[in-house]
Amino acid sequence: MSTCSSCQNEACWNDCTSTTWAEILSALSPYSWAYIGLGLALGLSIIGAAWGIFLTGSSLVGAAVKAPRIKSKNLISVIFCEAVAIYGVIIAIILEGKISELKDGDWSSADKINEALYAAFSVFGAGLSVGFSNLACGIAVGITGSGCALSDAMLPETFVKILIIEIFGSAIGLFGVIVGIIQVGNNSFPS
Amino acid sequence: MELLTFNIDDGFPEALIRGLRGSFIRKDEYDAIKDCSNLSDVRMVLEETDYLPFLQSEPTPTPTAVIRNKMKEKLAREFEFIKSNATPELYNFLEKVSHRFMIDNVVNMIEVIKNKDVKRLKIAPDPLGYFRGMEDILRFDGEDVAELYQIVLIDTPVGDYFNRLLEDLINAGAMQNRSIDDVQRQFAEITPEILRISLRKMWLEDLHDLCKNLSSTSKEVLLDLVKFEADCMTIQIIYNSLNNPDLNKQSERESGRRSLCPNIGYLYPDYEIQLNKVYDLQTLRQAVDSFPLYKDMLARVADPSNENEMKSPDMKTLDDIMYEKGIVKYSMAFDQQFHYGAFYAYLKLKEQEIRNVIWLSEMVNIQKPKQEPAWRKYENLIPFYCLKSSA
Repeated sequence: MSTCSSCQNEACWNDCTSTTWAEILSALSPYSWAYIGLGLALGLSIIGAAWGIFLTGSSLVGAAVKAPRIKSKNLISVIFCEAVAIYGVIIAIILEGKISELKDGDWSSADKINEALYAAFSVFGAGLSVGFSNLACGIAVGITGSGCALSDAMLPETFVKILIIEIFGSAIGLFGVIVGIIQVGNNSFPS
Repeated sequence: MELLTFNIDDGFPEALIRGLRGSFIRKDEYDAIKDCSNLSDVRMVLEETDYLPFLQSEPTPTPTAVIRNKMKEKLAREFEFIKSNATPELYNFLEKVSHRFMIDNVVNMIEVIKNKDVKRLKIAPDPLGYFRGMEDILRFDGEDVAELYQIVLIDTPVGDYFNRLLEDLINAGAMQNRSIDDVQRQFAEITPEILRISLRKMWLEDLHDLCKNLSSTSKEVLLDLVKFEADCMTIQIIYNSLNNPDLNKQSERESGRRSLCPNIGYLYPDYEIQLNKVYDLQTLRQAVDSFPLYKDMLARVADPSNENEMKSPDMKTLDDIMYEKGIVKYSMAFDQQFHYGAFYAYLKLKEQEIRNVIWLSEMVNIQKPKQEPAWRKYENLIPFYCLKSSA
């Protein structure tokens, strides 16, 4: 599939000593690009959500010992973090729908391979953008939610104000999802 | 990076402390105590605060000593609760903090044993400084107090400090060619005040070393508080020795007075030489001139060489001024999240609250006339409220 840079001959691929990064990267199968992207989208979103939940949950549990009234209201922070995980799952399902196996005959046609690589890279890119933005979003909402629980325990009127900060933090996860969906767009593996 | 990782281990204890922050007595409750006419009224006001569960089971005539013990017991229970929910790093820090109270308890017991003063047994030991084996110290029956140190105190958590004190004395004695028996006798004759100050100095330096190994936010907040405490200790020692010609002599300053001052703090290495030259309040004020906080502290304090000033009720004592400055610092320690400063500050602020309430209760008890300025002493010493009133 790839050619040696010095002799442009496929036969000496195994003995080639002048490998460049471009050759290595383009030698990766499009399937691996796509599925790695999918895994990153889901995995990083879940890590972000989990991080946020434990950050805000531990403060919530501790503050509720002395001020039990905050328990139900502050679960909103946990729900915002959970939403981040749901974005990850939605994107994973969308990306999964774009991937399909190439038929035997497609491997010899450069067009089909090109299309497959294009779709694979877009899935990978979408996975990266969604994964990292959800990671950041989850952490941001978690830290803010922790502060929200503690100040709500002291002064109930601060809760709504801090919730606005959390909403802004939640929006950045949504940006990632929107851009991810646009990146993937209508690209899919040739079927 | 503590924003991300602090809550893994210490999120729950920190949230507990911040919940407890809401249980401080507010200004209007202090004013209500001030307006009381006797101790049962004071008790009624206190029962409306967070102290209710600890006071309601006491028999009705509640002397101030009982109120004080119950308030300390509440603080000790809360501290114990936090310690039991702490992970190792936080636990070590809290344990080190409570060594100060253990030192006070042990020194009190040593005083009792040395003077065979049975009356003092009735003073309850500080519950914050409770450790297992505390009662065994009182059962020590020997005549030789040095033996007490080497046999009984070695096993206590604060035995290490006594060991180091003995080693320091031996080293100092070796430099002056004194025998071991001489040193041991000197150790046995050490006055409880000097013993307490020397041990507290060692404890503070240990706490400083422990704080240096914490994460960056905790380190920043705690080192500031510890250095402030060390500087206050230094200034206090020098101020208290100004009227004492024994300690104030040129020859004694370097060895006696200087050895009691902690080797940490903002004043420590740079101003040591200047502080050694201090012989009266004016020179002390000049020595700390570059620190606005300490300059302000010493500006309003009475001159120890002027007896009229010292006895006048309008002048504040150095203790009170230091408490005022300390309250502001400790209240501000609650401002940041994800650090250990809140735990230390909580302890200090609660101690101040206990002092305030007991002061007011004593004033109510002896029924001082309400116009006296001493009634208003608490107004600058209310935790957290001091931040609101400053511009």
